[in-house]
Amino acid sequence: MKPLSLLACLSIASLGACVSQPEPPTPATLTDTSDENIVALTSALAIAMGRANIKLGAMKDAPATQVTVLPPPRGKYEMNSPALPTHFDILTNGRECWLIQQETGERFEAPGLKCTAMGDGS
Amino acid sequence: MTSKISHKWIATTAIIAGAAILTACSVEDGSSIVSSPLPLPPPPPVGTTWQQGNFENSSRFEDRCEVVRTGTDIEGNAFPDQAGTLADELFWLRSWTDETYLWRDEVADQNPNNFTDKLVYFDELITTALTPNGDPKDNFHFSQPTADYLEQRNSVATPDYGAYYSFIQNTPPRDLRISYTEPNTPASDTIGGVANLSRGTRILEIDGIDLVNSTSTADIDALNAALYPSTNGESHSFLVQDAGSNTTRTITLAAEPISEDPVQLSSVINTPSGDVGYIHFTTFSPDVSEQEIRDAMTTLSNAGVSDLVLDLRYNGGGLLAVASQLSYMIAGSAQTSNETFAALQFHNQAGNGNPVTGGSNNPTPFYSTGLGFSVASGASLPTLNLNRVFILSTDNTCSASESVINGLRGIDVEVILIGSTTCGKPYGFYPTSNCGETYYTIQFQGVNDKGFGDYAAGFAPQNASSNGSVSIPGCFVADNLNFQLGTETEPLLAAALQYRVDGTCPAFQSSPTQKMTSAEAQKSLKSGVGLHIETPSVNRTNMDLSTPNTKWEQGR
Repeated sequence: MKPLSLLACLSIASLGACVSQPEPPTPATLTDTSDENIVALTSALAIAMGRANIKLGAMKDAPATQVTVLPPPRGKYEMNSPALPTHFDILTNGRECWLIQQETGERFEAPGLKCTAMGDGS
Repeated sequence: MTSKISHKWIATTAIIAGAAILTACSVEDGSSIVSSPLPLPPPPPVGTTWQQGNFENSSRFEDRCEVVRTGTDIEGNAFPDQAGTLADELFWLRSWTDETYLWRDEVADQNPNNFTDKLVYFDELITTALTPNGDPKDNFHFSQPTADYLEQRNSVATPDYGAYYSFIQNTPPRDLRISYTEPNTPASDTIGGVANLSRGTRILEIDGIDLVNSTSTADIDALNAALYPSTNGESHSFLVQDAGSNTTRTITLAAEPISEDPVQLSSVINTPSGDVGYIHFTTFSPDVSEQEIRDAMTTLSNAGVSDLVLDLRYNGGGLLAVASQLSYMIAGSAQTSNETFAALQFHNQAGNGNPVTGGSNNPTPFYSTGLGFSVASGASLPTLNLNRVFILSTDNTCSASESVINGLRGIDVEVILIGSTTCGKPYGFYPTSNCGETYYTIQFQGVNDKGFGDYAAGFAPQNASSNGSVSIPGCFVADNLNFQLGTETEPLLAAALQYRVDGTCPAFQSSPTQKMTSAEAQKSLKSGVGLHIETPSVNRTNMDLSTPNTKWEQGR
């Protein structure tokens, strides 16, 4: 359990109202690279990034455990651009897939996305 | 529907719960423990009533527009506009400037209600300070319609021939040459073994119009239109003369969608004192620049070169992250580990945060792995492990290119500059859109590991006139279009190889085919008979961080 989750539970427990937590997510891979699955992925990423147009960056050889979202293309005057790609880890609790933004730790649901827990060959 | 469940939410829950406990503990007799009341701050200005020195948060006015756009932009994002007034837009500019402009404390706080044009008001939101040379301190303040901004940044491939132009002289008798061409383009296609255009080729006529001597507005407009085609398939005939040739030939070029190829040339030069790598790198902007420079450095690393000549003479910059990666690949991990490549320095009230993004302001390290632009995140990068590098420069060497020079100097890697003074652009911005206009205002200055970033007058080779620039080791050498890039006789590369051997510079020789500087080009423009390229649709041209100058001299 992540520290923040533990803190939340402890704080709530002190009020006598600790709620049960879902199974902790585990790292997962994208084994299905069909168009349908990529659409599910980019749809979730669009919400995570707050923009409609999502372009995926270079990824390591499959199976990928993270996805990279490219920043918008640079305008013609952006010659000192601090733009960076955004990276998301893929996690699953066995039923649903999640995207975790690496820099902020924010977690996003990804409905319809098919992913496979690491080490799970099924 | 996808929902966002963030750790931030969990943290907030924890804080609320914790606060509840603390509150319970701090209340013993039914009343809160309170301290003496603090004096109330002065009331904030109400809406768009101006109160000198008081600034409401820009979010108060953001997206409140005099003219509301509806629907979505070309990237598919819904317009965020809400009904507002001109005053809302003006007050947004005022607050946004106060929050993000690098020299915010040098801006006179004028009442927005005295203005009737937002672009006129924006022009006032700038420092009026001058440099020691008497030039405006801020030359990079402008805006453009957001529709143009989005269209330009999404134009991956534009109609073009694939040639970059340089003016030797831009007033009659004009001398327009080719500085280089993109591979596999109409410009570089060969007929009978001869490329249509190559470095040094002079353009004499286009569609029968005399480019050298014409002075009529109609001719100049036609020449500009032909030099910068607007549609694919557009075809023009050119009378040209190759460098060193006494004969002319006529070619026909049809515009095609052209994408920039960042690494134009990479080679290994064998010398008695070891192999020298050479890379002609023209842009840090496209995502593919990460992969191309990685691949070139891999080749040089595998070849075991003992020195590198990095040709940035036409490189106007781009991604700072790729500049960092390139610097890492030059210096290697021992010299760069835990060091800062560049830190963004915002205005003096910004603290440790990034006032533009609202996020943290972490320094850019020397990235040692791919970042995902076009090399997989985490993939290792090759290194040359050099403690010096030769960089070839002109006044088109700008921005991210200069950050390579500054970043490496920050960790005491010797940078030897061969060529002429760089353009001097340590500043940057985040283009910010509001109500259909995209604004550019200087927001940060890049500084290296030593905290140095004062190179607004550029870096200059030590034997060049400094004129306020930062003098560094190297040689002043004029860019001569009569010599092909990458050849050992090309003057800048030859000078680098000479300096490498004995630390001396070649004797200065003015060249009949030395291109104009940006300042000279601008001067000729103002004369009215200079060929001018298509002007970017910005309200104040030639005010950006590099492109108008760059395009002027070597635009396609």
